[in-house]
Amino acid sequence: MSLISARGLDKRFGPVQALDGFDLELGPGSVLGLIGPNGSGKTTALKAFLGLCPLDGGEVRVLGHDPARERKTLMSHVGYIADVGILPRWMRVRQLLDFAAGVHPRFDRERALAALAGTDVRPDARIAGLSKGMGVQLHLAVIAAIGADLLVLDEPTLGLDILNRQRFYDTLLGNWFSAERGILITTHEVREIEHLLTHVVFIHRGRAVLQAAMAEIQSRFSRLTVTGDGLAAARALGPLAERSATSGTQLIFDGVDRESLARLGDVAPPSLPELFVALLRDSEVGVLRDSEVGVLRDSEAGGPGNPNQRGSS
Amino acid sequence: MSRPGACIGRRWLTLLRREWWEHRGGFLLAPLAVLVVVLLGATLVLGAASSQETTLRYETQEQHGADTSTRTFEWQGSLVGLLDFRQWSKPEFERRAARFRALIAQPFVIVHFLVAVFVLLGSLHDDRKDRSVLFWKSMPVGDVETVASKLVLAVWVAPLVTVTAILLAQLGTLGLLSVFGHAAGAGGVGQLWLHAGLPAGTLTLLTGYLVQGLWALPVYAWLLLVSAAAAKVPFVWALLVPAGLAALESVALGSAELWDWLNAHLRLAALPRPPGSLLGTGFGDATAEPGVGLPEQLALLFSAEMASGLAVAALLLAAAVHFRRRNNDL
Repeated sequence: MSLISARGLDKRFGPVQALDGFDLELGPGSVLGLIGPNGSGKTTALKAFLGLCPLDGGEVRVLGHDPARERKTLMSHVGYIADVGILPRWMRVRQLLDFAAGVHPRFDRERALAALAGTDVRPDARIAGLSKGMGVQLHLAVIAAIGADLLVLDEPTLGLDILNRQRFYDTLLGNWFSAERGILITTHEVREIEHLLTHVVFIHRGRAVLQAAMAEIQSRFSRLTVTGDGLAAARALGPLAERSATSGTQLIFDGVDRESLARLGDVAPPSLPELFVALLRDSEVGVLRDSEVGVLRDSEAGGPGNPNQRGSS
Repeated sequence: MSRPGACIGRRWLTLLRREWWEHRGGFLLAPLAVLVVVLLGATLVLGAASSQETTLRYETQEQHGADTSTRTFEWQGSLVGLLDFRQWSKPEFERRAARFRALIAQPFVIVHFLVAVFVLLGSLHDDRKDRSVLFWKSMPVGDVETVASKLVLAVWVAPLVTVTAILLAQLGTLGLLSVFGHAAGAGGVGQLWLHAGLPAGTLTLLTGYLVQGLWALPVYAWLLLVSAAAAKVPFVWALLVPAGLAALESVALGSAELWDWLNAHLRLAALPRPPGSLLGTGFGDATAEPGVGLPEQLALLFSAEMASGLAVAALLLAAAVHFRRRNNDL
């Protein structure tokens, strides 16, 4: 059974078509990256999966439930972490655990305390007094104690330093993930999670531009770096996109045999941001605006995300 | 390890505790602060009244034929010391005790009402402002439960604290009066405790809060609706919309039905009040018997106005739940 199954989702906010026939499938054991620039519809899609955003059209089932009608039931099985700290700041850590234990049928207080034991988060601390990194650790401890089947993460590491970002993903995969569970994640730090992902969905202007397993992406797409004479021959093979780099011209190919490419220059699998930009240039969806390319280049360069950037809606 | 589903009682206890944790400042510290102020005030007033020597002079003129003789009676002592509770008749004592209880209760009742108004106005708005609404909605708690828990705590649970504080204030003030009275030589101080009627008065307050919660439910429901719907300044919306509608009615129809209705439901109709109180005179003559008793509360509970008010409240609450479900940010 799919953990998430979405077909033809439509959502309009006034003149903006946030979701435009959006499809997504997430199976057990998958870590799916939902990747797209600001305003592409990522957060709207996530909210629709959690029953936080009524849709204008399409069908979505999450763990077999209709999220818009059965949010309460659904949330017994789903964990959600959003881009900024969403834990109530006035609460104390102990109160948060008491609350979760009182309303959540699957919450295991001891497990949450055990997860917190390895951190600097004290049970008597007020959440407002926790650092951003500690806040995320606390939220992860709550999620781990819920034993959720599905985790939805919306820019979970935005604003965290590199150490805490790494710790976040280590904890997530080490303590929580298993073959029956699934993770849906959006982030600007594409490079950072690329190696964690099993599946990827590119979203642009509310549409899924590409939905594929990482293994498929690595076998299907190639990046060729050529210098001088090879360029004309490479162009003749029908690249999706090309651009100049310091090492030469880089061309992205879809379904072109690697051996024939290797004769022309260096061949490697493209990074996700490279592939995204290439696909967008080629797709009928439309040409990326400069600002959108900028966002992807930032993450491509592995630079720190702008903490002021919020998840798109 | 997962445990069996939390039972509904534990669930509700948790939801109410959560509200209590968030609003302890308003619902616990505010009545405690009033208690301190009342007791301090009573100490100061009684201290002054029992230490300052006063002379009460009473003169009568008597006509004996052509002679007019003046007789003068004089008492010396403090104001408190001149009291003699033995001389009060039972009905007089009971009337004065009721006034005393209502007078002490009044500041607590007003403060509780104000705190409840601001808590309810913020309850479905503040968490959208700081985005913690996303956390609350990531928990398996329905929107109906959320809205109901906020209402129940503010309107029916938190008053228990206020009633306790009122009882403490009444006991404290009586204690102070006894101590100062005894020291100043007032007569029949023991009578105070016999006729103060604190058990019955407290019961009336408790039932009054229950009935009052229902009577004012359209007001509380309106506050929750504004809190759930308004993108900003819920306080302004909460005031402007009803005021605007009432003004519209006045201009268009020349009547003031809405205004009167609002006034009636804003009144603390089921709670005892001292005479001439600021908060209206719903029952009887304000200068006569103060407060509201059980019979008046029961009459209010089973009135047609109560039923129609509850119907309006149900509509407003349904709208509040609708907006709570839909709105996740500002």
